Amino acid sequence: MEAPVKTTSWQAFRNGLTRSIRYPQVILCAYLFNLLTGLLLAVIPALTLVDPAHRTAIQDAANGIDMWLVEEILGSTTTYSILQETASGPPPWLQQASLVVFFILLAVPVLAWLTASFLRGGILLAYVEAPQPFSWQRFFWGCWHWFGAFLLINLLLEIATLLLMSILLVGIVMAASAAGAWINWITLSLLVLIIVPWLAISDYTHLFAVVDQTRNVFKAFGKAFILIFRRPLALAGLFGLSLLMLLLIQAAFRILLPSLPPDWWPLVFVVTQVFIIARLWSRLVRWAGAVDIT
Amino acid sequence: MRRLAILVLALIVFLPARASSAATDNTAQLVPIWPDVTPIASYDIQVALDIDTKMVSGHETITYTNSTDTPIPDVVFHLYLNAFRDSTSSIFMQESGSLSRGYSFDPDYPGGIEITDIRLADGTTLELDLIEDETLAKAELPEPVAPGETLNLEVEFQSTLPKVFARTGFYKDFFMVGQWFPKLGVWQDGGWNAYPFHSNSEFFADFGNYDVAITLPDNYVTGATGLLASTKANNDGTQTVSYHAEAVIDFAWAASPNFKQATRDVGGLEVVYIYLPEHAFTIDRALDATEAAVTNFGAWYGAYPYPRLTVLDVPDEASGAGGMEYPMLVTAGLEDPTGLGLMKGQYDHMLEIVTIHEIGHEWWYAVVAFNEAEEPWLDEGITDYSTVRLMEKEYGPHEMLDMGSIKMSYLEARRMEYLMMPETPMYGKAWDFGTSDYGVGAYSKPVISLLTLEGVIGEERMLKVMSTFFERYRFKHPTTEDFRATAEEVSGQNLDWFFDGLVYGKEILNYSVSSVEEHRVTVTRQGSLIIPTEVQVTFADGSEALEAWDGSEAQKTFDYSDRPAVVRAEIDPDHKLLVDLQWSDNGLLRRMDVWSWLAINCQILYQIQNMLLGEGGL
Repeated sequence: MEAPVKTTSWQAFRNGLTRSIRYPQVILCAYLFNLLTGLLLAVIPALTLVDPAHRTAIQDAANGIDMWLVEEILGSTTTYSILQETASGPPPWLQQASLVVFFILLAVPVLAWLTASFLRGGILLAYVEAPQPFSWQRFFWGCWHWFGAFLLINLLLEIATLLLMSILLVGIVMAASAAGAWINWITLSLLVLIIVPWLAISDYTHLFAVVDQTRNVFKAFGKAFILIFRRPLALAGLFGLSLLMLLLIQAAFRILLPSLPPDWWPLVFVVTQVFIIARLWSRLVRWAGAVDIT
Repeated sequence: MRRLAILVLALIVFLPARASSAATDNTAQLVPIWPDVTPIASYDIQVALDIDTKMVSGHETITYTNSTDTPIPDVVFHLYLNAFRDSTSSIFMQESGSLSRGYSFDPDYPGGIEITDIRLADGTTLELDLIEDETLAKAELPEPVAPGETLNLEVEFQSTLPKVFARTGFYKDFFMVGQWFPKLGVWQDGGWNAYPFHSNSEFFADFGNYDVAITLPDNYVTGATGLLASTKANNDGTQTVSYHAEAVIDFAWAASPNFKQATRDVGGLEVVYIYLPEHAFTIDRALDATEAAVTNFGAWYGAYPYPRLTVLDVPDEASGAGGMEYPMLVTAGLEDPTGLGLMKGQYDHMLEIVTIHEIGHEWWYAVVAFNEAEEPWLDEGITDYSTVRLMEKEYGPHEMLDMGSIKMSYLEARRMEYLMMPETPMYGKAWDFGTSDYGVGAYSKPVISLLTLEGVIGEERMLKVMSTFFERYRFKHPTTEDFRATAEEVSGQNLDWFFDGLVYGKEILNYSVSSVEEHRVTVTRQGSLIIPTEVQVTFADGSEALEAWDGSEAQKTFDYSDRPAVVRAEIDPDHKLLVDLQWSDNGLLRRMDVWSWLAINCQILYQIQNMLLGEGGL
């Protein structure tokens, strides 16, 4: 009996590209979720900025990052408390400035967790069932079916990541202060050896749940854990190629962005949204390609 | 004979420089001769460095002249290294929590200094008492030193260097030897001005001449205060290097077998950069910054008065020794925080900032010798003000950090600190401040305040104030009140707002345009600090009006019934008042700027979308 031919990382990456392009609805849906979530959060600073939009400083800010303004926002809590003791008191937006920044920093991880947990089941189901025609009904069934399980596993993985990163960070600082900065070369290599497999485990936990049609994410986690030892090179190759794609997109954007006049916002809006779509696409290519290495 | 040898050497070294200095007016400022200053406390020191035990031991002859009109009954020495005997017992360690400049003290490698013998020139032994936390020592004299008389002391001492901590110590075969010898306090107003070594505090000493001979392994390269007078091979694997300096308030030196040397002639001044091979890429950067500092500070304040300036590099692992000023010697250094060679200063100018700042101290510490312990704002503040000015002039905007979308100037960094604690008074003894408010009181607020003063009285007059102050107090010990008298005299203005409000006081200021109506503009002052300013009003037909406002009223309304409708008003349009807590409320438009509002929201939306993706979301 002939042994099954194993897909190489390059083949998986190419298939990922094909599969992701075959289902543009997936990219569109993921982008719309990102845009709508972004808009939802952006409403708060937009409303806060209505009063400051009467200030001449808004024109400086519109022309790019104005460090003087950034400083004043960062120092706004102190300034607010000092000005509170004066006769006229501080303007209300001064207190709101730091609160809004704080709120966004808090809300982003929560919304990222909710949207990713919801959409991932549907997205992976579309890729696993390729080359079947795309069905919105099947897509949203997938989203809903795995929503609860993915909420749980993403929460657990996030907590584990935070713990892992904290331990690694403390270890790096302690090692560097004890042995000198040269040890950072070793810790950097170790970090890559830990972070990439960790990312692969996270990706494959979701994928195995969909492939095996199970909501037992712990079983899927176990299979993902075994896979990184079974096909380490193929996985490293796929992740490496995806990272390269992301880096190329980033580089193109970094070259293009500074040439845009910041206050010409319609053009800036189009370019930034194209970048967001490209960034999303590079992630979907990785997920779609991962289907072939199981 | 020895003095003659030094004179001959000095002539050989400086004759070409003198010849070239005659060619242009610029170089004439930098004529390399020793300043003509009557020495008060001079030191003739012979020591040996033991690289295994990290000890510097030897003998010093102190020649002290009583230049005051009161007899001096005793002598008080600073024994700074005793602050590092262990992690807890000294005032320095208690105040700092054994942390200095971001580095921890290593209790396995403590420091210390011991005077093993002290006697007068006639051989009379003196009784020495360690006082306070043993960072000071006092000896009664058999006879007081009368005004105008000279006292000669012979002192045997042994100094143990700690592992680099708080500017001094060793790291492997690198030695930064600062605050290392028994050093007299300053006799002032009938007593010794000498404090125990506090963690925030720097130093204060009389001017004098130094002859220092150091015996150390013959493969070591040295850098020091002063000029290298001679190098003698001892045929036992050691060498003795001798340095000479005049009209200086301290002497520090460094040694390492790995040091290399690069030199540059800056208008007749010999600039020496002593660097480590792994930092060879910093040679041009360090020398360019040094040249810019010497040239510009010379032009702004007055000529650098010494014949040589040495800039010293330190190892990455001994950064605690970097960023320090001594007469004719400063330490800099470039640390790669990643340790991977990824951050070699390509995104920042920290090396230049540190180098320029420390060289600035040659004017505002080494020559105009403030009491750094009692009034740290004077030397750090004026030096940092000089640093900000020069960085902006030489390296343009965002000169501190330019890393993609993250850009920052040194001034912006200082303003950020100021905004966090704007009510911190600048005046105070070093130990009156905590760790964080010391940074604001001694550095950030003085920078912001002095630049505001410059904005109010004008750049030309400000430089006149500074150069007059420098000229008047060269080789003296001025105080805040001396600076006040000079500033008010030269500017011709009452500067109570600066000295009473900002230096001694904790006054704050926030100017804002509170309303813009069709024909009326109302401006508001918050806080008790009052500084005269201007209000620029723009009308619908494009015409403008510039109104002077002394700021004395908390609120003022300008009426324009006879002019076209007002479209915008802005207080302090040129941003002269850096102490203003909020520039963002200085200008007001009658109608909302929707286009700019959309442009900003477009950027905010993009940042949020990016953050969502970065957090693993979609």
